[in-house]
Amino acid sequence: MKRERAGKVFCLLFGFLALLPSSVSAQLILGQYQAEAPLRTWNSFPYTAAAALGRGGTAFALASDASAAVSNPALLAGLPKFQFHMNGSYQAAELFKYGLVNTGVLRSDGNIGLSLAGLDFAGLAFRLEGWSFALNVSQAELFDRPEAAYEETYSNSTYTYLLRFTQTGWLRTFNFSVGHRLGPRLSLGIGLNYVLGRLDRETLERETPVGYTLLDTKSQDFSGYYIQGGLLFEISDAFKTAAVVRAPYALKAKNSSTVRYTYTPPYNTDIGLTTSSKDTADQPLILGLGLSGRVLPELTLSVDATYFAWSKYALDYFGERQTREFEDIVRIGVGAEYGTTTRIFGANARIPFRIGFVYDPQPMTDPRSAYACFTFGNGIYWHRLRLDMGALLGRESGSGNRLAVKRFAVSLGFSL
Amino acid sequence: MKAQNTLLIVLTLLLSAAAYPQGINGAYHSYLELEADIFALQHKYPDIVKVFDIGDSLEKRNLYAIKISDNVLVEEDEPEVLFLGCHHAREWISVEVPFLMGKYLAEHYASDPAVRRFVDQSEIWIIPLVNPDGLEYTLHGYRLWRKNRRDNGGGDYGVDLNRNYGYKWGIDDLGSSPNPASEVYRGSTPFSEPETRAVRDLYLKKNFQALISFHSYSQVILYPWGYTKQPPDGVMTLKEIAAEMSARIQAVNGRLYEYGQSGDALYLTNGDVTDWAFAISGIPAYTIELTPIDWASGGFFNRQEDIDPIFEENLPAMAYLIDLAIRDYRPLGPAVFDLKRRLFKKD
Repeated sequence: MKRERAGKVFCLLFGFLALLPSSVSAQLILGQYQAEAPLRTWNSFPYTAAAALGRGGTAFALASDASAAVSNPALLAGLPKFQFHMNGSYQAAELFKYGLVNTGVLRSDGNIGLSLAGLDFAGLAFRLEGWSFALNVSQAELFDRPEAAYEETYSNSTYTYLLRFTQTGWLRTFNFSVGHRLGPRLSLGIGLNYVLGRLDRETLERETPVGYTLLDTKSQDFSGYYIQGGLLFEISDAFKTAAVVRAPYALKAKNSSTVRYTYTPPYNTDIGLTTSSKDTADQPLILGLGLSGRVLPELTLSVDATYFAWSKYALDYFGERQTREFEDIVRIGVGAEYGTTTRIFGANARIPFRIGFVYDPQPMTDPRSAYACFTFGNGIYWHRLRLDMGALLGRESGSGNRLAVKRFAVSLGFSL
Repeated sequence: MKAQNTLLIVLTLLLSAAAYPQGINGAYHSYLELEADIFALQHKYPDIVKVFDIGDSLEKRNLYAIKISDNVLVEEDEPEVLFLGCHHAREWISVEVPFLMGKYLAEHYASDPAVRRFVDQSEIWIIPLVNPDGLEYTLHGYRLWRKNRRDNGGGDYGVDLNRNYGYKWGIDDLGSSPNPASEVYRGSTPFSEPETRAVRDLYLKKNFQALISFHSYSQVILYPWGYTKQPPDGVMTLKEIAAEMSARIQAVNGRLYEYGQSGDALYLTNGDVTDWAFAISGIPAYTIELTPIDWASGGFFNRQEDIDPIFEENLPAMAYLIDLAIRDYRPLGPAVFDLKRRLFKKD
């Protein structure tokens, strides 16, 4: 039997990513340190670009840009004749328990931060012969984790011991949507979505210059497709209500696992175990209701309620059903948008200001937790160009770790 | 020639892949796979195999004991032998050897007179997986995890189940640790863990005459005491049995398992199952650390194709212990046996 390596579990060094005082997307409470937990909230539907983000994530009954296709395709009928839109986000999240961290192997003194930035939406929407269409790609989920490493070195010795855990991953949605006005006040839309993704996890344990190397890699290739539909009913010129449904679907995964143990010469030990499987994760039904109202000429209020049927979530991994004690939840978002006008280089420009709030319960039953997030944003709409900025700041309660979240988003669009 | 060699290599790889099940740990058992296999064994050999649920782990997995005997549903005044596996999660081979023993006895009962005698004249109990939660964590979390999955708080997990038994528990901090972060953390109290309580409760209901607790690695046979270097009374008998088991193992594949007193030959341990069983019953109780011999040779890693050879070389040692139990058994007699059975009525 191998004696415990003294001190192994006491010290945690971070490879690249610094602790952040607060962060974008709230970390899921890993009641069982699930590897597949998205970095952002489990409740990642729908994707929200900067404008919707700034007003509490409300996106079912109020369209700002082409990203409306992924929230409620019925909104497409209200967009300009042609619009191209891109969004980039900076996200930061705090985690406490994940992978090898705070699950018995590596221990931290507090929450650990992770930040990521990149383009997370690109798409276009256009109208043709009374029909509206949209084509886009969006970042649905991220599975990254902060790299965690422990290293031992000794003075007057070349011996080094390293234990390192890394995880990266993403899930993207390719969407094609169609919207149509059924009457003066009713619009209908449907979206076909193809999901593609990847998750890689690696644990490396190594002694140098003489000793063993243990490399444990797990990889998953995801794919799947789902349909979503939406309705928009204009109660009046000022008030709209919407209903959205995302059908449940099976996210397929091609999984592989390789665990390899080697020892340096002269022993040259090399013992490997490689296995693979095809599995599925049953994604839940999602229902959304939205309401927006222009209560003053320049002031619009909006509210969204989204129901996630997480109790039906079921994950198979290497042919075995994994335990995930999830419950159904309802996420609530409220927002307000106040528009002003000004002149920029002799032309009128609209400047919206946005604030909002999101209450986002997580599906785990133990411990129960939820994120409370404040949002704000604004934009500049000048000629055919539009620039939007949105931010979300939030904190979790229930896990005891008070994980913080941040997301800053910037959108750029061009309309005809 | 080169094309032929390439074809041969490809075919070998394909056959190799097909030969082993494609669970996450290949030919080794996960908890669910073991559960399925032991119940399949019971289903196939209902007259001689019975699976008992002896308790729940911390994460609510069932702890299973397999009984192999003729008249398996009846408690008989026969010698009983206990084989344990996987106190320590990373020691995957220690699940396979006792499980394969059970499978071997069941499959050869009808055809092998020696097996028939073992099964007819004794009760063989096998708990192949004492630590199912830890095993599952090695599959999905950290391959070299050792302990169970007790949440000790502050990011520390696990109790070393083989430091949690009640004899000389925590007598010093050399043979175990009071530190929850330690790999040899002994737990808050003796038998604080449901896994060790399940083993204890089964043991106390029975009349075990011998015990082997399988581990890896080191390729040694160890006997009490582990908590001290001082030898116990009757050490010569323990040593003679260990020597015989070692010789029988070596006769199969030529692999030498050294033997010695645990506290003297390897390192001090307190709170382990063999010290406890020997202390309360005086029975031959052994820890067999399976191959390989050291970390450089693989440590906790054995190739899938080595599982069967490792079982086959340990089979004679287990058979010897069963034979010894049968030979030396003094029946309790009807009155005492009936009293014992009534005292521990619920199985």
